[in-house]
Amino acid sequence: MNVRGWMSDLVLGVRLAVGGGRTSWARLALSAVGIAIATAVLLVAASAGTMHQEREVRQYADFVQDAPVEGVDPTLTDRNYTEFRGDHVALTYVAATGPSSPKPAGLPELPAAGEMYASPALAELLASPEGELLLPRVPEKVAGTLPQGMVELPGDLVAWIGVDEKTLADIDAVPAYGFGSDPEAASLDPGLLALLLVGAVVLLLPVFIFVTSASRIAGAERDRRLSALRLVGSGSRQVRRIAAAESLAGAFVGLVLGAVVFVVARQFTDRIDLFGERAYVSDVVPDPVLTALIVLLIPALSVLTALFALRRTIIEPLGVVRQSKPVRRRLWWRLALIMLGVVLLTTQLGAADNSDTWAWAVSGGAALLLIGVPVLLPWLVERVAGQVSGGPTSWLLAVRRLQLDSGTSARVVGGVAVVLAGAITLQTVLMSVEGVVGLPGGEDAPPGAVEVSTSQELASAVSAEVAAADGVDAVHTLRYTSFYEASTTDNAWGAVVVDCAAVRDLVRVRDCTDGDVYLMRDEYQMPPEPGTALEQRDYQGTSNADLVVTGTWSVPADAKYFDRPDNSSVYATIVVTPGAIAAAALPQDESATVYAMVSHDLTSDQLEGIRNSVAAHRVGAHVYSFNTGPDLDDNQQTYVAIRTGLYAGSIFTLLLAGISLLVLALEHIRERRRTLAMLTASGVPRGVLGRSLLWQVALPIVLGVVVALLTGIGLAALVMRLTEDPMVVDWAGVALLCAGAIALSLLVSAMTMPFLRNATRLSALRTE
Amino acid sequence: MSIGHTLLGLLEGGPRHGYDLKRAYDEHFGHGRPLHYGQVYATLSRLLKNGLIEESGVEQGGGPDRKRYAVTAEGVTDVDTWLGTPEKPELYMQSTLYTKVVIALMSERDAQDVLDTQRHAHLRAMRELTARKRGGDLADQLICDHALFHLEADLRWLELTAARIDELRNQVTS
Amino acid sequence: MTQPLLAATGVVKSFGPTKALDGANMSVRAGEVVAVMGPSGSGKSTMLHCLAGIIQPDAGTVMYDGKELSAMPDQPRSTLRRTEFGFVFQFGQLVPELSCIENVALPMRLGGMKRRDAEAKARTWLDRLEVGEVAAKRPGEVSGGQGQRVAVARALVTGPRVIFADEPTGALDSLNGEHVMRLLTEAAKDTGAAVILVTHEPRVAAYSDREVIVRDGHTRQVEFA
Ligand SMILES: Nc1ncnc2c1ncn2[C@@H]1O[C@H](COP(=O)(O)OP(=O)(O)OP(=O)(O)O)[C@@H](O)[C@H]1O
Ligand SMILES: [Mg+2]
Repeated sequence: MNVRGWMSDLVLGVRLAVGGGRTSWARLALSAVGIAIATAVLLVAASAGTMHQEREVRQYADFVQDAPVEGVDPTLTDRNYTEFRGDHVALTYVAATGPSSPKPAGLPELPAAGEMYASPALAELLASPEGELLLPRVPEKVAGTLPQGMVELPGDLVAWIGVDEKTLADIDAVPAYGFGSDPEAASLDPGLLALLLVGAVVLLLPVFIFVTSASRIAGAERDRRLSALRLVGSGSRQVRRIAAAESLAGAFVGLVLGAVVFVVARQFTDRIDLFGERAYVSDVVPDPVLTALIVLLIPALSVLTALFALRRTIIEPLGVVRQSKPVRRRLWWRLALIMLGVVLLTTQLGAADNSDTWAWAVSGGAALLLIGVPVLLPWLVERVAGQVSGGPTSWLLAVRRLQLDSGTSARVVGGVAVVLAGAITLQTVLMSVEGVVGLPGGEDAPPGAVEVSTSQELASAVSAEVAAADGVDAVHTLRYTSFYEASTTDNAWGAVVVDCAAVRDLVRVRDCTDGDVYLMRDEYQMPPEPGTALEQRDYQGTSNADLVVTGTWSVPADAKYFDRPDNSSVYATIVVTPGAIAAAALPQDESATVYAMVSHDLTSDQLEGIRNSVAAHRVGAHVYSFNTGPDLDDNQQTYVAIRTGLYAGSIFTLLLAGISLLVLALEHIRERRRTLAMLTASGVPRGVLGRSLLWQVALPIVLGVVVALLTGIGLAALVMRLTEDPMVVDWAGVALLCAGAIALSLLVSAMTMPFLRNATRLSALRTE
Repeated sequence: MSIGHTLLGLLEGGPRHGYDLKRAYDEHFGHGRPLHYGQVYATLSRLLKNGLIEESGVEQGGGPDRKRYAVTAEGVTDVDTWLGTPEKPELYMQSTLYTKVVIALMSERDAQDVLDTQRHAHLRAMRELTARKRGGDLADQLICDHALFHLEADLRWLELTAARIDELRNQVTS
Repeated sequence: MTQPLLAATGVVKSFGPTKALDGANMSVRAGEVVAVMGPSGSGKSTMLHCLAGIIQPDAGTVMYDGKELSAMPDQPRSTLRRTEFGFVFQFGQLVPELSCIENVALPMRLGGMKRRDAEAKARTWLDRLEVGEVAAKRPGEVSGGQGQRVAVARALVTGPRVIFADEPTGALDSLNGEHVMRLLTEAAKDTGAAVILVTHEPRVAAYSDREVIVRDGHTRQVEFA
């Protein structure tokens, strides 16, 4: 075959792709849009590495170097934070100790006392009415905004605040002799790495599968046309080339479109939250090697699927005229693929955790298992359709249709099913890993509480301020200390000194009288025996030789044992009421915790009010809150964001699959216009025809959902084996996903009804 | 159709009486139009005179028509020649129907009426033939088909003319 | 003269600017075979569709068995077509996924008959139309003539009172075409069904009892002794 002939075949293919009137345009557009979406997603994925690197560089840019440097006056630094309506606000207090005090490279100058540099998001928030309740905590004048290099992510709330030297010296702030460091190569825990690998596979695999189904959109029509070409004498290789050119056209248009979508969408990454986060536009740069791979892989994949899909049409030019029964599908290689995946995941090839081989085995196994879904489905649909009989006429029509050609619908549904399986896996894995997160409203969420940690000097003032705040029911002051068993090296217990009111509220012991001592038992630590002599120590250096005993105390003989209540907010083994210990026995410089009991339905405004009540102390009082009101903490937010992202992603992909389903159904109607019109003419109710279309979509979908459910949960179980955490299945979420898939098939069928109505009009009766 | 050649052909199977010949002829080719005895005997005597057949004996006790006839060698040759000579295709150049249509057009009568009436008559004939064909054996069917195809040809012409009647009107009236 | 079973009077039907029928009249008596003939595009198929209640005329009436078909809503018309009418078209009326016997059984199953009964009845009709041997095959696997006979079986299986046939032999050679016509008209005569037969072919029309000519949307019926 000479080059000219090749070229003319390719040109013919492209012409067929674009030159066949409205339908070919629609087909080209659909596959191009599908491939464009896939391309854009892959480009984002290819940018993930750069995004992560750049973010790390920024993260380490203000790293405090505390090793003293000769001739440098240190900058006193206190890393602090507060929360505002669930958002983390990073506050770094700094004070220069001399003219040579260092500053982070990105900061124009160290802020003077009473001034600050704020991140753009924080500056904006403070200037807006919404930031009113944050203002008391960061009242400093904004001297300028922080440059990109000092704010990890665009939406982050960050401030570098200047204070006077004394305030920081009082709280033993860290002296910084320099800022910045190179990012460390963090080594990941095997469980997390497994999760990451499986996550990547789960999210990207459907994209590839989508590429393959996108390049098969309206395949039946193309098959018919190519068969006709074959019938008039095109060689089988020639037809392959024409088909390849046809799908290449779609792939190229898709690639270009995808690149455009990516470039446009990239402009908005610093303004629009994606999974609760934003990214700097300049960070979203795809890795060049991966980009090249994408550009090569997508057309290759679509051409390969087109050729693969054609294997039968090419052999049989009469395939169009006589729709002979397709060859029976085989099971063994489909099962072999899945088994291989299971084996890879269970044995990990015997490789050591986190080794390269291990990583390949885990991700390969997950990929194989997921590929198993679309691979197994056509076989299953064929087998099930072959088995069923009976039922109403609409059912008969649908089943017969599936018997004749189960491949097309099974493939499209395979796309849906693999997304579903992936989503179920990810969701289950996340649920299991984050099972501890406990969202508000959960049964085991501890009662809401706000803790203020402060110094003993400030304790009474803080306590009064907090008690006066709106929404606070009661306030307790806790003083934590540690006791060591006298003359041993390392037997130690935490102790807390609290009054009886606090014992009743926090430890849930009803009959407390001052002077009581309680020993809390739990599975982790045995409390000291009553009568044990204890001492308090001050380790001045790091070695045991330097220790100074600062006080002694012994556990009273009448100390009572009790079991640590669930969700206790007291983190100590020995609970001492003030009457049992001389005030002198307690070290004066230790910190105190003011514990505010708040009502469960604390509003976020009230919470901000409590935080503001101690704002005047600045670095001297720090507020933590647990399970207060509707605001979620960081962990919960991440979890919710991931879950939302997952749902959004799955629903989006499901919609895409829905579009392919719709195209499939419409193609089917078009193909059978005449038959449908004849049936209507001879009095077959449209309802029967409509229902048969519904069955035809619903049967593969239901099978797909079942396969996806089994695969998804199976894969999750295998992954959880790697992380050795117990598996938690969010059945409600799984049900939601499955219901989504089923609703989709109903929706698609409903959307085909107007077309069916149109096809059954009389005009279709006329011979074309 | 040549009755003489047909009788000669029938006699090739063996000598027959005149009466047998008439029966055989009627059965195969009569189709509702049996030969008259007179026709048979007139033909036989002509063949006898030309030496194409000969008498091959008289049945005892029979009348004058109990003679048996046999074909001669000349007779066989004559049948050969007849079968070997193609029938001249009919040209149908003088069509009464065409004339009627043109006259109707020229006199501004409804030419379609003429055609419709003719179609009706033709279809009626065809219907009769079809009915007969349904009842009859293969021979009947073939002979009916022969007639049907001819009628069909007329009807096809009729449809063509009906479709082009406006053109024809323009031509004949201009 | 007996009351006509199906009668159209003054039927007008336009498709946009084209007037497919312009005051057409036609009637069919029970058990009668009527051929509808005329040039291409004259409105034959449109006439058939109006008579069968597939489309509604713009003006004029279609009466079937004392009911005004042209005033009936879609639902009962649909049911009527399924139960009282049968249809044979030129091609493509069989459902390609169903086997021939399932195709024939289809109208009965839609009517709620049990599958076994429906298929048994379908089989007798297939045998009657001399296509019993293709019962298990799908329409794609049988010849055109066999397919048309299966279609005739399907049209007749419900015992319809009127059969509408639009160029039923159009895609067949004359031998096959006549075979189908003979089987169709004989079966119709046996069951007493009327047949309305649209055709171009005189030899096919010869299977009718009388003909109606459609020209430019008008009908003509020539009657003489
Ligand atoms: N659905 C339609 N839309 C537009 N025009 C139509 C439609 N159906 C019929 N027509 C027009 O109405 C006229 C009659 O059409 P009809 O199909 O009845 O003709 P016909 O006699 O059956 O022709 P043929 O013998 O070629 O099948 C034609 O001019 C046709 O173009
Ligand atoms: Mg027509």
